[in-house]
Amino acid sequence: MSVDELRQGIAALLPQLRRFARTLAWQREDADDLVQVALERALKAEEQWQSGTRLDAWLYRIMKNAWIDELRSRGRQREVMVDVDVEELSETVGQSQTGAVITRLAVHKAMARLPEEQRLAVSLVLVEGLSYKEAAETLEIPIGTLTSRLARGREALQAVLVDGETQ
Amino acid sequence: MDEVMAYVDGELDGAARAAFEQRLGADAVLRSRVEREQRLRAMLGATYAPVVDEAVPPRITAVLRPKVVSLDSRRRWTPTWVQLGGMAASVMLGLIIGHQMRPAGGGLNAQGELAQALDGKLSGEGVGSVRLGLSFAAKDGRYCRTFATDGSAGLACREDEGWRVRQLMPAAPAAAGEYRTAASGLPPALLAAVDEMREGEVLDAAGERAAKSRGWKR
Repeated sequence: MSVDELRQGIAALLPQLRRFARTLAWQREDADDLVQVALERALKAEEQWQSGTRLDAWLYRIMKNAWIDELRSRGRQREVMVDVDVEELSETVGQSQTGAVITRLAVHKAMARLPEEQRLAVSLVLVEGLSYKEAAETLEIPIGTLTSRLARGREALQAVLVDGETQ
Repeated sequence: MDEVMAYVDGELDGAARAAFEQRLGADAVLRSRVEREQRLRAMLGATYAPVVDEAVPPRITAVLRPKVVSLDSRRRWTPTWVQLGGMAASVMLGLIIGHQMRPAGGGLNAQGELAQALDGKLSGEGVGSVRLGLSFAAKDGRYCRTFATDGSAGLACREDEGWRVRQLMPAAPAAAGEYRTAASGLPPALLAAVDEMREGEVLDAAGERAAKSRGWKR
């Protein structure tokens, strides 16, 4: 695959890469910063991509690593993230989709409370639709570790989101 | 591994799946566990799926574009004040005298109030006599902004060393009582230049703030 073809392949994946980023960094600008950093790293390391393997999984892995680096460098500012959510709610709540906005916010808050490794597992399998094998390879962990993180993460989400809703 | 989880995640093979579905038909507790999983998936989908329908911001697509800009595309965007003749030349002279631009490398670079406004102000704001109009990401990977000042209107793009003026022309007179938008008062030729140069939509306030926070560099 030529450099141009690789770039075209990446370009076609941009919408889902942005979605993955949004599960990690909820604010659009932060998420797009993450995508941008990941793309720059991918292009620098383009000779490391092995033709015939899944390009999306390779890019998710680069983005995951970029995100972990980002968290380390900023020392994890969860408080800040939650503050910004409230602003977003007050800006958008006047629109007709109030219920949808509240659902999105509740989902985001529940996701934000998960330990990072559980959130990555939930995001790759339940949002991005990767198989267990693909998700484990992306996160560079054994499948058994992936499924136990996934099980704990989704149980925590269900307890807050689904059980809370039906009570 | 939990079988319910494997089932909803599509990880059971054909035989295991069929067996599980058979039990599912007879077991209400199992069914409610599957439904609980499906509720969660639906909520995650409602939250994150809309992201894929958003327009990808130019600064991201710009990363994928080869850095070389062809000479042809550059030439199209050179300032038109040269061709506009006497009137534009006098406008230009006035601005140079007004310390807003200085000749550099065969063109004009913004300085003074104009440079301050381009760096630090959002659309509709200004410094002194300078008012900012539209901001947009250009196809050559730079941020560009329109401005109006002292009876002239123009367009400058952020290059490595500063704001380079690429268009400069007499301002269109504003009609009395006209509803003012960011594009009001911009000569049609300038709007046409914006349309030709821009990649994606002009920036909204959030986009301008983000671009400003990066020093108008992409």
